[in-house]
Amino acid sequence: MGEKRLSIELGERLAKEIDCGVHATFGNMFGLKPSMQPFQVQKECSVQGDISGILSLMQEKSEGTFIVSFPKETIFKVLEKMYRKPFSSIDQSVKSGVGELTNIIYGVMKANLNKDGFSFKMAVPNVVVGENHTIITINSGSTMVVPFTTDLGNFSVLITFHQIAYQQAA
Amino acid sequence: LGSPKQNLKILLVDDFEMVRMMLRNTLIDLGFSDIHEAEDGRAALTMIKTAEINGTPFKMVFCDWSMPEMTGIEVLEYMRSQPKFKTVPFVMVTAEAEQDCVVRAIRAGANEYLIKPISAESLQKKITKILGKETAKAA
Repeated sequence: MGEKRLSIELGERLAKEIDCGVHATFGNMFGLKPSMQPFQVQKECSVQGDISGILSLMQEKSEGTFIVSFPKETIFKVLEKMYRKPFSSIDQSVKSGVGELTNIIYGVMKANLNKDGFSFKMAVPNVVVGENHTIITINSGSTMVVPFTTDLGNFSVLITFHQIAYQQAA
Repeated sequence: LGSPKQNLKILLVDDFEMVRMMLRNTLIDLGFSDIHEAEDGRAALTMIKTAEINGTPFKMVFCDWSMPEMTGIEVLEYMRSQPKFKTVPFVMVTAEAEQDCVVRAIRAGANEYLIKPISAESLQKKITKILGKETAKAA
């Protein structure tokens, strides 16, 4: 294990770990090869989707939010590969599936980062549902948006770290 | 009489339906057919005890770590504390890849540790390894 690390920039390194988590998850579970598109760092955390998995990022001296957001058409087609039946509405299976996908992608990313000295903690995902909903985080800094394309449709992964004045409490 | 694979009664325990579905589909593709599911640890233990009483015990358990009601590690610790279930092959299935979690599960008595996202290949390897050990024990 490398030296202890307290924070990570929203940039190439984080995008690489997100890509790794997405590839492992969609490859192993669905036989898909998502293609990462150029990421953007935005001032505000704002994502539009029909269903999103959300969990808290926690480690020493940094807190943030991890979001995986899908248009319903994409998640229906992805889950059809697993359930071997078509989906036409966001039912409990779809909600549960998005929660677990978020959990697994984060798990891969967390394991890789923690091998390198970070200490991200376990987190329980929540799922937000609503046609073309918008998620806005409060007290956040910049947000990295990483779009993915697959043969079955597009989706996005977002990470934002909150601005907290840790140095004042030290 | 079915094949050894068809006769192997397997319990899948995970609070996420998608993971149970993934495990079930993969096991069916590998030739297994006697597959049962539980949504949490408490329900799993009820099924394990009932199957034992009915004379049709589970021969292998795949269990998630993080679940409501009762965690996978609690299910494992209970099973290993009971002579009837002490040797039932138990595979911990989790998104937690940290070394200390693996060590904790193995120390508690897990036979194998499977990290999500699970591939068909990794699942097949674990089953082959467990069945190989069981055959060696029986010989």
